Amino acid sequence: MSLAERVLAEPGKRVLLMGNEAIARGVIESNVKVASGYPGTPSSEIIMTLAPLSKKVGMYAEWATNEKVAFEIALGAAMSGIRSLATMKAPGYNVASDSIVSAAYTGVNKGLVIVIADDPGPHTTQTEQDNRWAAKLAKLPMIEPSNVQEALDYVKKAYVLSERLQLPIIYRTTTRVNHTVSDVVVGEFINEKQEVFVEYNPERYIRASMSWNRRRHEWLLEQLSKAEKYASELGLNRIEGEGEDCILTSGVSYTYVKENLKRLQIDASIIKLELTYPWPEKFLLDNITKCKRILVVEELDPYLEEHLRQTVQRHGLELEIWGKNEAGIPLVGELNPTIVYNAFLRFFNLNSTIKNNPQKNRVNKVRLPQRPPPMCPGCPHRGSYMGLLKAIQKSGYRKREVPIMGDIGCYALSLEPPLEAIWTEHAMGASIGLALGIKIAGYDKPVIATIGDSTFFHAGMPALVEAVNKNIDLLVMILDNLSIAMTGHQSTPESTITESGRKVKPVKIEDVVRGIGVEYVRIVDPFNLEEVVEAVKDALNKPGVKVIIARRECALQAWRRGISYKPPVIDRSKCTNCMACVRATGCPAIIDAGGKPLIIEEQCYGCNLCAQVCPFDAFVLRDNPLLKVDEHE
Amino acid sequence: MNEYNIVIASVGGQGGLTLSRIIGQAALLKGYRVRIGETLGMSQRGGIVQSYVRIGDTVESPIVGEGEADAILGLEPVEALRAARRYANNNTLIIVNTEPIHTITTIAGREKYPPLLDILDELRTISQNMIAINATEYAKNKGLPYSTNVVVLAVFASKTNIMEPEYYIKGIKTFVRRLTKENIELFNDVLRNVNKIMTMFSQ
Repeated sequence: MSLAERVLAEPGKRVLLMGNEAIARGVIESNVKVASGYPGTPSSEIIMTLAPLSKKVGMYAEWATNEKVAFEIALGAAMSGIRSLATMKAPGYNVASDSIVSAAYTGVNKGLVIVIADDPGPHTTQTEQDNRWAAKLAKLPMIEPSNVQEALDYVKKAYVLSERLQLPIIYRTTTRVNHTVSDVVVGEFINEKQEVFVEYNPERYIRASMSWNRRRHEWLLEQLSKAEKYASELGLNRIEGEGEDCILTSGVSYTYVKENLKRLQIDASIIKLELTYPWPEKFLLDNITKCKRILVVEELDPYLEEHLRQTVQRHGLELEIWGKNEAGIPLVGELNPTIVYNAFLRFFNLNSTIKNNPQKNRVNKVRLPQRPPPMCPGCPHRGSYMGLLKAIQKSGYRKREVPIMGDIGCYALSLEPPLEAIWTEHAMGASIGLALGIKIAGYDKPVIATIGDSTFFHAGMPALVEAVNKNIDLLVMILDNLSIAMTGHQSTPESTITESGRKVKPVKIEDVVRGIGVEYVRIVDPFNLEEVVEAVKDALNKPGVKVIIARRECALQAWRRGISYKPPVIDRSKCTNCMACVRATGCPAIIDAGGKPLIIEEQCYGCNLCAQVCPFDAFVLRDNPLLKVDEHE
Repeated sequence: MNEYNIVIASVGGQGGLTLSRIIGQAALLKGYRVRIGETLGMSQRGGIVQSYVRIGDTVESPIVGEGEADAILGLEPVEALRAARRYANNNTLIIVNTEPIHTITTIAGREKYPPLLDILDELRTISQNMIAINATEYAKNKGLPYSTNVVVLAVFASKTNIMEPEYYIKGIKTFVRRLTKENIELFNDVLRNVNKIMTMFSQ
């Protein structure tokens, strides 16, 4: 049974789906016609699931250049009477927020849901940004599902709420909802006709008149005042269990609460919030009067807790509140069953010996090595950074004299040994901007910005315009592996075809860069170490803005298309076991096997970088990927 | 069944996530509730991947509590021990593949990969209920070098009775998209020969 078959299963069937696949199913059930997003963990699988099915279900489902563009596509459609979806990871909200905040004043004519996937932990995100505050800042209603079934079911509710309020809805999820796989029962498909219309309504759509903006702000507050009532009519927010001891929770934390109550066989009332903005004060007041004490169980910031404290204070309630401090629930990292268990022991004053912790009496005898994520065998970024570092050294600088700014993508793994190349990884596109700042501040040695293909399109272009316009001495290396590799090989603006099968016009990076006004543009093959070193050395000597495009398809992607090269062979008569090949590349496919280098053939892609760093010419090449660069593109 | 918790410890690219879905699909068809969670880093390949498969009527959350694994399926020795320290108790069934995968810190010479026998010793002190086999070598000898996960699954299926083998086979059919028939044959082969395979690797 393929993913498509599971996602499109007949209504009422029970299937195994990941949270994001379940959201995609909910989106299809809701008859959404336009879906856009920018890849980012843990949100990517929503559009990845929709795109290949989009023709079949009559939907536009494509990646956009960045989250702001994605949201604007969705907003434009929803303004024009078409149900739409935008998806993004937590910091994607920051990129899209300029448009999202204005959209609260504009509103929509048809349902618009913005999935924002937060990442407590964090597992794969630069910060643990808690986007529940984003809903409050943007003044947009927010729904939080707790598990995969709700993630599917509440999409439909979100579209109804969006249309009743004429507002976009923030659908806030976290990694443990997006990436959990669960048995779910799928629902009915809605089949209601949607007509495109574009409305001329200056007060609503033109934000240039301040009196209009004030009136729209008043309208927004009026709409928000109805949100709680409409949400409760949709069955959002609920109470489970009974007792004077209450637990206020939302999102995935609810699952930890529920499981531990069962395990400890405790009676308590769970107050489960699902509409978490605007704050459902009426629902709270109806249900907390019977509580003597409330424990708040939530991840990251004390969002529920602060709102609860305000409600209690505003209404002069006699209530003992156990928040982050009282219950010892951390502000950092995600929750898990054990943390909530321990909070319960405190709150319910239970004997802590109920569960004996098996780790307590153990001695860890073996010293376990760390396993930071490596660059894959055949990763083109390996050659790019090896070349950069070698060229810096050959140009007469020490490694830590020439800052290499990193950016967001697989190439950030160059932070790990043995390369330890990048000095920063900050925000999408920030490599170029930060490098500019360092040069403008007066740093007299070269500064290099390294940025991936999609990241360059996403947010690197404005900074490159700035660099050209201000004529700053700067080397920018664009690492073009022809896909958004880290999040699962999504298409980029350079692709000729998208995941939905749509043939598109590729926008080539070299054309963009030249169009911006960069005169020094070179394209190199990262598998050709000598070529990279020579290009970087040359560029470091030239004034102004230089762009080197290091282009080679992601090895995993190529491998899946059946392309790989014969591994080289080590000539043992020449090899001195100096381990330069192992130490310089850090490639998982060549290891130190009892003092001798050993190529693990099943893992080797055949990039030949190890051979190129051998001081004794001890590698016999069996294939030459440099000759076959064209067939990759 | 109330609850059965499995932690799958692997390295990115070994098929740990696929294994979790095979077991999940089997459990779904058997009629159990299923929750699968996973913890993975940023890399496509080579990072630590832990998945949690939770089966049974009381499961709600996708994460296994500390010390609460009924079984740990370790596709790599160091990762098996890392997971066992956190999730195993002294009754946990630990199945470990003995084929090591180096880390970039051991490749770069910053850290040492610990001796296999030390890893197995510590696993045994955590739980006597420990089975060590070279699943990678076994799969490779059967012509399926990427099927370590299927060999470990078959050993698990033979040592537990939460589901009959045909459910796992249905799971393989759903989630192994390449060489499906060959992988089912491998699964059945390991089931038939499990005791022989275990003694083969216990020496």
